[in-house]
Amino acid sequence: MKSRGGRPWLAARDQIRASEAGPESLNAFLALAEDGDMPDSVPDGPLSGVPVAVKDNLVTAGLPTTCASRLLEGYQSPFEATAVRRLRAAGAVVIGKTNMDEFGMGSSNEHSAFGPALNPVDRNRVPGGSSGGSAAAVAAGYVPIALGSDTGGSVRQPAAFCGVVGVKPTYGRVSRYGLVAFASSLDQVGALGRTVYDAARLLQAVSGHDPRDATSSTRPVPDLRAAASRGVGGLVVGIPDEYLRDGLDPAVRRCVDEGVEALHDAGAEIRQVSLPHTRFAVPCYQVLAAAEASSNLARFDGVRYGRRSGGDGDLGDLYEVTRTEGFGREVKRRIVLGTFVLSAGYQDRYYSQAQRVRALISADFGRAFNDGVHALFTPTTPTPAFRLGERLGNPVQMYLSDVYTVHANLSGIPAMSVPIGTVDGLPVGGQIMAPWWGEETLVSIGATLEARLGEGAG
Amino acid sequence: MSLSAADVLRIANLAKLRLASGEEERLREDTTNILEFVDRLGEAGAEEGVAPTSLTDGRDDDAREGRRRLEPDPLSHEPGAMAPQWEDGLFLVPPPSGVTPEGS
Amino acid sequence: MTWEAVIGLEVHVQLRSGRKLFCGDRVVFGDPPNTHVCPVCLGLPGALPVLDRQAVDLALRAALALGCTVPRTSTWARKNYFYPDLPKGYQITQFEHPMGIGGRVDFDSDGGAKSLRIRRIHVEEDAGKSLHARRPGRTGIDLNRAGAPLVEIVTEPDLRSPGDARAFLQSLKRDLAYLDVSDCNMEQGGLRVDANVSVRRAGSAVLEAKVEIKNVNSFSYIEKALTQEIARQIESREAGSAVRAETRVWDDRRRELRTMRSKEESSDYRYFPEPDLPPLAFGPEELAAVRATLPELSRARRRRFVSEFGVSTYAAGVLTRTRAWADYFEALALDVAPGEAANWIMGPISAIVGEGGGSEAAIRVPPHRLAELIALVESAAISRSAGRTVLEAMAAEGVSAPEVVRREGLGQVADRQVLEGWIDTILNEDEGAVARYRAGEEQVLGHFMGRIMTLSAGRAHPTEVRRLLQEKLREG
Ligand SMILES: [Mg+2]
Ligand SMILES: [Zn+2]
Repeated sequence: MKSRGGRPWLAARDQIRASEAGPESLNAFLALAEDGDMPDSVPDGPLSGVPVAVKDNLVTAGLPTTCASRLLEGYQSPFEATAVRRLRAAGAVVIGKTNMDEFGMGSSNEHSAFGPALNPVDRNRVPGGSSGGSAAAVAAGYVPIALGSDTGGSVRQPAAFCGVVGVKPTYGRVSRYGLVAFASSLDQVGALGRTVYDAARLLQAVSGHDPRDATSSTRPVPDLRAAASRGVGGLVVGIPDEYLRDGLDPAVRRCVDEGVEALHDAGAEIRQVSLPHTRFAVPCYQVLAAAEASSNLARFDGVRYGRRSGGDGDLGDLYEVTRTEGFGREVKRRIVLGTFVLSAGYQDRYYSQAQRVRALISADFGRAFNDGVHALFTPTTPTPAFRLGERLGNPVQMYLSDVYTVHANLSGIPAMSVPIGTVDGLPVGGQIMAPWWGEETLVSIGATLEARLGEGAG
Repeated sequence: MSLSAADVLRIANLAKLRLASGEEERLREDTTNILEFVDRLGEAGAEEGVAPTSLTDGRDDDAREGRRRLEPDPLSHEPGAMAPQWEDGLFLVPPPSGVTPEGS
Repeated sequence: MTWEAVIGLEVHVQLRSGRKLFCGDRVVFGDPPNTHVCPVCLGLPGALPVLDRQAVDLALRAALALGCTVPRTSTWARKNYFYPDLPKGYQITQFEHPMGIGGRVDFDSDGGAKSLRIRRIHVEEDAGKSLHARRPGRTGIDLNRAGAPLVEIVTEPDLRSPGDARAFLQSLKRDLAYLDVSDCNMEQGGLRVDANVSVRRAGSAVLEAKVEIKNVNSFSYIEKALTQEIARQIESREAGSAVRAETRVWDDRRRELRTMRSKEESSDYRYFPEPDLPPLAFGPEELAAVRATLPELSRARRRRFVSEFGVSTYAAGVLTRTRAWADYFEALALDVAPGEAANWIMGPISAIVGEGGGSEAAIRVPPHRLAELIALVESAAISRSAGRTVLEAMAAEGVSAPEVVRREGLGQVADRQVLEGWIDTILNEDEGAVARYRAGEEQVLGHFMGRIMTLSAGRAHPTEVRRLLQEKLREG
């Protein structure tokens, strides 16, 4: 089939549109680019002509940005996120905005105001969250690469559930300018790809200092694509015992063991390590993420943009009705929790205590890496993708989906999930964590696992 | 720790949320469950001596503290185009309580 | 029974960096609403604050000049509350670790020399403006001011009278201008003051319930509001009832304080560290470098003008009202006797350029040129009254005194022939007066002098004229 007017991305978009309109729809996209939203030609660059899907919490010119919230339905940002600008400059074509849990709050995509995205491997199962739409779009073959964001595992956990690669870079590696904030000290833009190489080149394209984000680093960005062919010879990989205890599905455990063996066979030295504060990470994360979210979401007040409700009453009505009708249940739950843990009389017991525990969790990693370990290898999630509705009734159970991923956000280190096998046909992800700025190590180890355990591997 | 209905109301008021009576009870239960779960933070051995931290503390700060002045990022459309209510260059809202109209 | 007032102040001052604190927008007063806004100060989804260090540099000058200790690092915090002119739903400020702590300021009030401790000084962003009742039943929001850079200066409750509060504020305002930190333009909201006040029995050390006073926007109203409030509290205490801790707002129209409705009162701000901004760091070298650039402040300068130049306390006060004015005086005093310099500045110069020294006009008449003019007058090359005319021309055109004198022919005339011509004209016009003089009515001499000066357009050399006139009258 001839591509229309030399714009192959239009055909890619058409294919997605047809597929998403059919019986096998994944509800992966909240908006698809119209012809006018896409360029006639693209600059020469590392991603020239590559169609890319962007999570709907990165603001884009042209396409609306809703964060999967009623409150922002139809919102058109008057500026564009730095990561998206960099994508375009690298030649990529933004093909649509992907479904997600509202404002990034969720681990299943079921907290989208526009219905959940579905897992392409099994449409009765969740794709994970919050970047579920991006992971589903990549897994379904709609796009080779997609941008997501990762606050407590939101790129890695859906990547694991859908059988693709997802990487959360070091805090400060990618600008957060234009990423609608959920928890500012934890949020990072992340990359999803069908392969480690794809995820690496996407991450490479969006990385680097941005003067519009005071927390973005001025460090030079290493050549991540080159790291994909570097191998693991001479690397010391630590296996933290705390990640292999109760709650871990034995079948997932077997996949992890195979991953460890593969790394050993490829020349890595395997070492047992201990991260004693691991079990405090999820509660620590819940407190800090909710606290920051309660403040970050205060700007959604119906005054300057977004959907306003209750504007005929007094100002209190405008605020309360707008926010009560505009936010979904999970978002309200987090705002209530976050407001409470910051409130007078409780702040020290919850928020400040969580900050102190955060320091302990970071110190665990610092000790391991100072002892000569180059990276850590763990499961990404304790189980494969669960069924739709299975955990909706129990927030704490849902939060435990992130039991292995929040640590990297709390301590700022980079982490990647790569497919390491399947359980009953469902993908299983293995997680690699590296020291600050150690993305090259992630890519080298990820590519090795991919080569030895991936679909094409013998 | 267990939240009371009054706690939930106080918090909802601070957060500008108006909860229906069923929703309020559900949120109270959910939040109580979560608080019981996070209470384990108290066992982490983070005694007073450990300083609270945030991620940007002490990392890279010379590099981040550029003295270059930024120009504002231009808006591709006017604020009025996004505003729920806008007139003569102003966002309009109902008056805050306690404000008496001028001249009355 | 005597009562003592205990007063502390919180002063918000706009920094004169000209840009908003966390985005590049300009800070302009009086432009059409919402024309200086961007993603950051509109609080749009995805926008992030980036600090303008120039504002911090100005605040650092203030902190050091107020004698504060500046910690090696200070941190940003979010103060959370909902208000329509607060776009993000929180204000970025400093809370736990402000950039300046524990200073002290000396100032002079009517009651003599006073000293006041500064509790803290920190940087924060301003809110926008709510314009009530512009539309029926609606409030308009203008965000041009949202994000403007402020320093907040919090004093200890060391003030004991409304007059002292006012004197401190005036001194603070003067010094912030000396430091180039702020214009403190009160009409434009560039300086805003809240006060807290309680009364106690004189000599008691008991801490009483404080009443907070907000929304006062001029120094004289602050004095008035404090006076009213102190009287109210004393009256209440003498009647045997307690004073309730509350917030009272100044009503500009009625010129009185009223109780703020409880709903307006603030509740729980849930301060926590701002995750979008790294901590502020100040090295010892930087502090030393900034300290070295701090100017002598008004009070020290006023005292030095008295001791070093011997001018009156009053004159020293006038001359040090602005730094430009004081600099001008010192430069002039290099060439001109200090008393003469002070007289010229407080007289003719301030008549032309306005008190405090409109810098524009002062630049047109720089001190060395004024010194040149004064020398011409003192050497009698031109008259004192011609001197004023010359000064006006110098200020208007930016030219030197000799140029004006030459061009306008204002040089004083001492030439005997010319003077005798003018004298003859006047004497011939009024022979009756000549006769009266000769009859012994000597005050007629003044009448002749005046006529001759008018005829010569002020250029006749007065001493010469008098000598020649007396000679002529004696001759006849
Ligand atoms: Mg303040
Ligand atoms: Zn701005």
